[in-house]
Amino acid sequence: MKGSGLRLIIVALIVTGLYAWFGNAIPQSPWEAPKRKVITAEMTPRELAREGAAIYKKSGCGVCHSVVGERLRASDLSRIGAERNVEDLAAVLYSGADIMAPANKPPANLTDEEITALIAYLQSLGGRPKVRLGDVKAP
Amino acid sequence: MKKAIGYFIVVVLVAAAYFLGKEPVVEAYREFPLIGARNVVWILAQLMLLFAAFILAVPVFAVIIEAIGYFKRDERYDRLARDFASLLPLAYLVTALLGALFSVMSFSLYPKFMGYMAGIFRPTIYIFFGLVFLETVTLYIWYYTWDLLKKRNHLLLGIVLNVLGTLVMFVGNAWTSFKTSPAGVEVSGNLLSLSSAIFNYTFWPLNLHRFVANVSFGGFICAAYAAYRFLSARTPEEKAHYDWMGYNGTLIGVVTTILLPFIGYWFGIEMYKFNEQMGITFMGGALSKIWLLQALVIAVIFIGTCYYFWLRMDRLPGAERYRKYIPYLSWALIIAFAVWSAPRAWVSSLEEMGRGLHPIYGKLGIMAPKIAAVNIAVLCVILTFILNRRAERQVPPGRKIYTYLQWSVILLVVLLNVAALYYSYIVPSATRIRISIATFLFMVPAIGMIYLMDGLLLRGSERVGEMQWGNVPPRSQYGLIAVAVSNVWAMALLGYGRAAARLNWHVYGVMEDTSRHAGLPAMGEATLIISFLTLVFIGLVSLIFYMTGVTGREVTGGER
Ligand code: HEC
Repeated sequence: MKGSGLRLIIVALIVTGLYAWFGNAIPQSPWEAPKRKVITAEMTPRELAREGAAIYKKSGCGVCHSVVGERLRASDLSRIGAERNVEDLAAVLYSGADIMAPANKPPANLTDEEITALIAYLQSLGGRPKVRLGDVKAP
Repeated sequence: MKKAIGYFIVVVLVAAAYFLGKEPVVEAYREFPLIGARNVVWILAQLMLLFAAFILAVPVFAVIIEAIGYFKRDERYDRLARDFASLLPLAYLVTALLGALFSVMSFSLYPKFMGYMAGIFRPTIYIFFGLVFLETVTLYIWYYTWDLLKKRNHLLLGIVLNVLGTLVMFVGNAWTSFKTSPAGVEVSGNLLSLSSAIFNYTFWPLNLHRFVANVSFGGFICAAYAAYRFLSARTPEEKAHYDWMGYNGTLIGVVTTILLPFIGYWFGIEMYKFNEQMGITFMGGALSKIWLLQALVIAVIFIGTCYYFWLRMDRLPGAERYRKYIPYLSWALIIAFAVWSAPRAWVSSLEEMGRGLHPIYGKLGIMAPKIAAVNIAVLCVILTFILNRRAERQVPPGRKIYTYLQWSVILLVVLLNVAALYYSYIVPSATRIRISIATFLFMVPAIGMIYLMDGLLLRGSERVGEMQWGNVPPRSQYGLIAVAVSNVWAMALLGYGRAAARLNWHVYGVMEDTSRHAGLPAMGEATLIISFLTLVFIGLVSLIFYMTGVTGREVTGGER
């Protein structure tokens, strides 16, 4: 009786140990909750675009869009700055498209300032960033 | 002892009432020393859920076994059912304690969030406690009237008990699924419609998934317990009894496990419908490592079970004819799981998710071939069952046609899935998803056909050799224990996965987690916690078995 209790414990330890070992053996990558960016009215379009690039990454846009000329789940954005104007971009970001949720709604959940920075970044793709804080009207 | 526990419960409940009744608190979060608020709540919640699964599974199980015993007029089943039922009073107590502890902890560590949830779901909380009360009363009546009531009435009461237990689970699931896919509330979180909040996108998938998973959980726990008793058995009668019990537990466990991927994908589809990006993050993005681990665990469960059945065939008179198939089955299983576990996107975070594909595996990790792989793995398990069954029998002459039909169905399944597997690498994703859903759905009638043919084939057939209960190598029993441990681990892993899918949200898109625990731990840390709580759970369950005295009972001899 004692013996088989011990054996049960050993099997349980081996099995749970195997999984924990495997979980630790693969590349480790904790996921950080996105932090709010500080965006001020003094920022130049270029500075905004730099913030916007970070916002693009943290918001998971890359799950569906590529910025280097590939087609993932949705259209490639590598030349979007040349193809669309501010109004078009704002319209897509604020109302979403097809399976894309509006950027000011979860999961991206961006503020108006962040969306302006994001637009500056999108403009920089195939074009030059031009927007400043206040140029984009939230509908 | 009992009194002490009773007092303890009262104290805990009073404490809980105190916390619940407190004025709305201003601070949103409190900290817990050493391991942190999130981990405390995580561990308590998961332990409570595992126990809840246990007390849901055991009555389902007990009533089924009791019914089989009644209709087959076989005393063994009735005794087995009763043995299991005797675990319940103590298990209920432990569940209630864990539940109380969990509530107290989460209300005091996450006051704002829990306050919000309690506000939204207040009416259902009363219903919940009402149902729990009814369930407990029913349990006691059911348990203590085992010999008093007429068997038919007792079975009926057992069914009532199960219905109550399931309803309790449904209420809890409404809360849980709401956090994942909230409905019926404004963006600001104000309640618009309680019924929409309850019947949100993932409510029914969660209900079904949990119910079926609970039954298979019960089956595997039963099998592990039997394995333990088998290993410590002294007499051949004991060995035979526990061998028989382990066999049946495993059978129930596996058959229900086979259903789970199907329900799981439904769950996934509902999640995509609710929020595409959540679905993508969950299935292929930041959380894709969970699926890697899940594939490993399910592989252990499937291969462990098949191993058990294959070892049985070694000792089965008449099984020699079929032994030659086993190597093929085992290789097919291994390959299927290798495909299944290829990661789609092995990114550390959304930030790296430029392309959404794994740098080495690339398209190998996409979902559609995985579904084909799961289909093949399921087929292998089914074939193992079929072989086991057939080994005992002498196939009557003149029925070759059914074997041919069976073979063609099997061949069709394999061809279809291999084709789907191949095509899913070359077609665009929308087509791919449609193909894979089709192959998935095809499995259901295919399995049905295979069994139908088997039934026709073996109708009225003679047994070649009687299954010799107790005559299995001890190795097989370790397999069963490993399978049960893996099953608990898988439940804890997927519990984590479901919660992690919300990322930094308490209620997805409605209430953000702004505490310092808002992110997700690395998989290594998560697996350590999961392993830890799996061991705690197994320890507690063993203690319940021990304290109930079930482990000490003799098998032979009439009244125990
Ligand atoms: C769930 C997938 C998904 C995510 C995540 C997503 N999008 Fe989209 N996006 C789409 C789809 C689908 C369309 C419309 C069809 C198309 O362009 O392919 C679209 C369209 C767009 C367009 C318009 C393209 C055009 O040619 O007019 C822009 C700009 C855009 N998205 C930017 C973003 C940004 C910025 C983010 C991150 C906040 C984002 N998207 C996140 C799926 C997504």
